[in-house]
Amino acid sequence: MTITTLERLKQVFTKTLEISGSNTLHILEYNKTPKWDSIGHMQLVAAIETEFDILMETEQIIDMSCFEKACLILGEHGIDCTS
Amino acid sequence: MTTDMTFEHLLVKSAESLTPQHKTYMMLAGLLELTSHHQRKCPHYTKILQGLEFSSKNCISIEDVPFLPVNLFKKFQLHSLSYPDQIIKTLVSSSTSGNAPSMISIDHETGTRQVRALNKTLQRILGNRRLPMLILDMSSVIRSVPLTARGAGVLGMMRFGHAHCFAFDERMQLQEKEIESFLTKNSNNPFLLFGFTFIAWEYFLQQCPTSWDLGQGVLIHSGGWKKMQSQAVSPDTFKKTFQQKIGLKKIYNFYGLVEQIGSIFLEQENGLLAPPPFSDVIIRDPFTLAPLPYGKEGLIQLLSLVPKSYPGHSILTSDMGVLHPSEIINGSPHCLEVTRRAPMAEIRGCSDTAPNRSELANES
Repeated sequence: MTITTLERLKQVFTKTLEISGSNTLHILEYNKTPKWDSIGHMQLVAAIETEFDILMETEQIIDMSCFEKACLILGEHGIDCTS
Repeated sequence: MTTDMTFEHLLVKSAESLTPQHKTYMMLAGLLELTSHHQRKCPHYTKILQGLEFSSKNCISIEDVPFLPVNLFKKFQLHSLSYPDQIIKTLVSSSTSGNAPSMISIDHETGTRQVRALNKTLQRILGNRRLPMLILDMSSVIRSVPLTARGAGVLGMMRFGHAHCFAFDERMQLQEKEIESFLTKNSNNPFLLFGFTFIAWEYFLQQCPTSWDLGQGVLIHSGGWKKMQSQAVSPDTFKKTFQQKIGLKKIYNFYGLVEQIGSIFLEQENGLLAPPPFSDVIIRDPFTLAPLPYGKEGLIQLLSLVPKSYPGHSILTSDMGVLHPSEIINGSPHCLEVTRRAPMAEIRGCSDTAPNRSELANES
């Protein structure tokens, strides 16, 4: 079975922000989670860009304040996160 | 209209369509709203306004908006937050002369305003596309706690780049191999360089092999000219030397305060600094503090709609400057020239946080 896009994004988040399990992902917010500060944010952007081979726009980096927003941004790059 | 609406309006509106009349109207409305916000939220600020017998009814132009001297941020950690745990980071200004640094409290909202404001200003020269980025600093600069002005500057600018490469190791030695690998991959297309003025000159350019071609580079730099002036390096010499030695032609200086991060005055083709759409500048007589007309040198007062978590929307700096009439840029009919530090003011500025290279050699 191939790993879904959503799973891949979850893995990027849990690995970069050093959180155990993906159950809490939906409540995480930028600057309100210990590892998700300005530096963590840049690491997260770089990790997502590498995993999905995309380059975000500056506006998208500013908008990516939670996991849901990251899903939407992937959608803007033509990567469907809903399945 | 609330301050969020005026800020949002000036942020979203195209800078080209902004007229001076409209900008002045929006700035006054936004600044008064911020004054009232801080009056409600910051007890120290409330006392200051009481002492000034301030009444918003008497405020008919931006010159009437009360201002705080920049040194006040060194004496008090002023903030306008209901709960201290809303502070997500505290920025400290550089201070090499033994004076206390400024302590600036940033919450999530103001942090976001800063980045969006910076984006608006830099879009004019960078577009919306992020460029590969060579950072003229060492990687540890972004990890200091509390974050220094220098670190905050680098971190804030990193969003405008990707494939980041730090140019220096922890002893500020040029990482030639890493940079050569960066240039091999990226030098055929536009790429971004960012660093503080003195570091760009003293550490980067002086150690740079002339064989490097940085013709596609866009250098954005900031941090004051104090040390440059002491070496008799003018802005013109700075630009010419970069072009002659490594082919770097696109060079933009900017001026801003750590107390107003996000509001940067970007260098224009005329060599002067333009206020961004949500900021303005007033020159004041150093003795009477009365506003001065174009062409007269005085103390620089900076007004900005960006700060909300601390009362930094109207600050009297300790820099001296002159306002010059210009074509309309970002809704302002004038540009700023920063001339010098006010006499008796301490030396500060991000560039000045780095020692001269000879001083560094003596230390090691």
